[in-house]
Amino acid sequence: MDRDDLIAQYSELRKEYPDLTLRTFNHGNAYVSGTFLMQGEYRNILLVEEYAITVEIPEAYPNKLPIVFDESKKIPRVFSHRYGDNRLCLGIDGELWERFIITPTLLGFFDAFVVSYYYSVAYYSRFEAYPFGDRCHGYEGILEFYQERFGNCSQAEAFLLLKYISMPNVPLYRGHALCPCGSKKHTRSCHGPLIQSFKSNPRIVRAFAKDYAAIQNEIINLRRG
Amino acid sequence: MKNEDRSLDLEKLLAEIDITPSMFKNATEKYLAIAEYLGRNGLKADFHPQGSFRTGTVVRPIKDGEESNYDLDVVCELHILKEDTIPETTKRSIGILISKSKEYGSKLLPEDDRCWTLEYAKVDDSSGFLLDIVPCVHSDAKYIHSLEHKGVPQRFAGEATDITERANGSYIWSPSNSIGYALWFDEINAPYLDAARNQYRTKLFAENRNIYNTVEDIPKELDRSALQRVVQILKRHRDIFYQAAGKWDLRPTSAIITTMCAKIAQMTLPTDDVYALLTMTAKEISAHRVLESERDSALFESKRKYAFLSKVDQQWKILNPVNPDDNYADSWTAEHAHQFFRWIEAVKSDFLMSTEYSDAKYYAGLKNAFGKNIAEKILPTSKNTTVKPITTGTKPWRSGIWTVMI
Repeated sequence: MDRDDLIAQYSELRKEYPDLTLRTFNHGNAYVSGTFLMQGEYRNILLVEEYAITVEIPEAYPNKLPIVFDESKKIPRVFSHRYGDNRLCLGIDGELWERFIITPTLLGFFDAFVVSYYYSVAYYSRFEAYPFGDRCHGYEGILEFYQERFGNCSQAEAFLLLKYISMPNVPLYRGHALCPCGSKKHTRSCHGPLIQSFKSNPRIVRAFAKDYAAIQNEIINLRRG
Repeated sequence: MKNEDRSLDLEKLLAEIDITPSMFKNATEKYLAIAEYLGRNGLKADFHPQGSFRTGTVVRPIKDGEESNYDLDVVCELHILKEDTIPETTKRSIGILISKSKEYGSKLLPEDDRCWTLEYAKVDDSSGFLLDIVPCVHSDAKYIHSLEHKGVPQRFAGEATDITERANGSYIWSPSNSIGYALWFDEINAPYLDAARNQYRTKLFAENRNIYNTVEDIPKELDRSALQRVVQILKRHRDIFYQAAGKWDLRPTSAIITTMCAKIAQMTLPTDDVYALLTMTAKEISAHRVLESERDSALFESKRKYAFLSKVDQQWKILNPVNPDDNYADSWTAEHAHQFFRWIEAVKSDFLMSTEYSDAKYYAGLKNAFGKNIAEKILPTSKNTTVKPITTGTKPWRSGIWTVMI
C-alpha cells in the first residue's frame, strides 16, 4: 500500500463523508472508522441513515479489497449477509473486483459497494425486501453470479467457464476450439469474447480463481460432512 | 428542525395534494347542476358528497405509481321508497338520463358496479377529476331499528341508505351509511376544527382572494383540522409506501385509516398541532402490533380503555362505527396485518423523531411520505439536497453451509 496514495484517496473520501477518520501505522493494516452517512435513492425511494463502521484496509491494498465491519447494531438480524464478527458480505469476489477496477479508490469502493449495501439494509428495514435482490448463501450464490455474467447459462456451464478462466496455465485462446462451457460450439461463437475480456485482467482472473476455490472447498466439505 | 418549521413544510405539502378551493367549487357546482337536470327530467333526488369529499380528507390519488386525477364521490338518494323500486331500476334510471344529456353524456364512463362516473378534464392548473355518482334509496325502518338495536345512535342510524351493487350481471341492494358516517366524523372533528379554524381560514382567504370576497365566504367544507390533516398524511403515505413495497393490493382502505384516526382523536385532547396528533395516532396503532402473534385481543383490550383494532379467533376487526356488521378488515390475512404494521413503523420513522433528524433525513422522510416530485417542488431548495441515484446495486451474499446434497 502506497501511503501517500492512501492519504490522497482518504482525502477524496472525506470530502463526501466528513465523519470518517483514517488511522495508519508504520506496518500492517490501515483503518477508516466513524459515522457513515448513507444517502441513496433507488426507484424514487430516498433513504438516509447513519451507520457506525470500521473499514480495514489491508497492507496489500489495492491488490486486496478493504473489509467493512458494522459497528452500528442497526442491521436487522434477519438480514443475513453479515458474519458473526460483523464483517459485511458485500458480494461475490468476482463481482466486487469487476466493479472496483473501474474506480480503484476508497471513494470508488464506497460508492460501488458500501452505499449499496447499507441502502439494502435501510430498504430491508423498511420493506422487508432486498431492493437489488440478494444471492443465495454459499456456492449457489457464487454460481448465480457467474451464470448471470456468462449470459444466463446453466450452473454446470458457469462452473466449467469459471474453472477455465481461473486456470493459470491454460493455452492461448483458440477461437476455433470447442467452448469450455461444454456447449460443443466453437469458442469464438460461444463465450469467446467474454473469456478474452476476463483473461486480459490479472485481478479479475485472481478473483475468479478465488471464487472457484471457494466453490471447490464447499463441495469438498460437504462430501466430508 | 424546529416544530414550527416542520408544521409549515407540512401545510405546504398538504395543500399540494388536497383538493383546491377552485376544484371544490367546480365539483360542487357540477353535482348540483346534475341534480337539477335530473329533477327537471322527473327524477327527484338529494345529492350529498360522501367519503373524503365529505369529511374533508381528500388526497390526490396515485394509480399505477403515477399522480392521478381526483376521485370525488357523491350519493344520489332518490326520493322513492325502497319497497317501490328495485336496484336495477334505481341504478339505470340515473344512467339513462345522464347519457341522454349532451353536456353530461359525453363525460359518462362505462357503468361501474356501484356508481356512474363522469370524467372532467383539467379544471384548474393542476388536474381534472372523476365524479362518482352513487345511486341509493333510504333504508327501510326495520333495518334502521336493527342498527339502533346494535348500539348505533339514532342520529347516525337514521341516515342509513341502500346503494345498488351490480354483481355477476344482476343488481342487489347493499347497505351503506355514508351520511351517518360523516356525521359521526363531524362530531369528533368539531373540537379539532375549533382549535384550528381561525388561523387556517385567514391563510386560505389570503391565498384565494380571486374566489372569496370575505373569510366568511369560505365553505366550511374547506376547513381543515389536525385530525383531517393526519388522515390526509396517512392516506398519502400509505399510497407511496405500498406502491414502493410492491404490495399495492394489501393496502388498508381509506375507511380504515379515517376510522382509526377518528377513534384515536376521540380519546385525545383536541389540538391544532398536526405533528402531536400524528405522533399519538402512530404510537397508538403501533401498540397493537403485539396482536400479530396473538389469536385473540381480549386480554390486550382488557388492559386498555379504548379499542379500535381487535382480533377474534384470528379474524382482525376494524368495525364501521355506524354499522357494527361491517368489518373493514374482513378480508385481512396475516400478511395484510404484517404489512400494515410495517407501514406504521415507516410512518413513525419518517415523522416522529424528525426534530432530531439532520436536514437530509428529515427531507427524506417527507419525500417518502408525499412523493419525490411533490416534495422537490414544494420544499426549500436550500435544504433539499440532490442525492446521487443508485443505478446498479450489488447483491449481498454470504458464504455458508448449503443444504442441497450433491
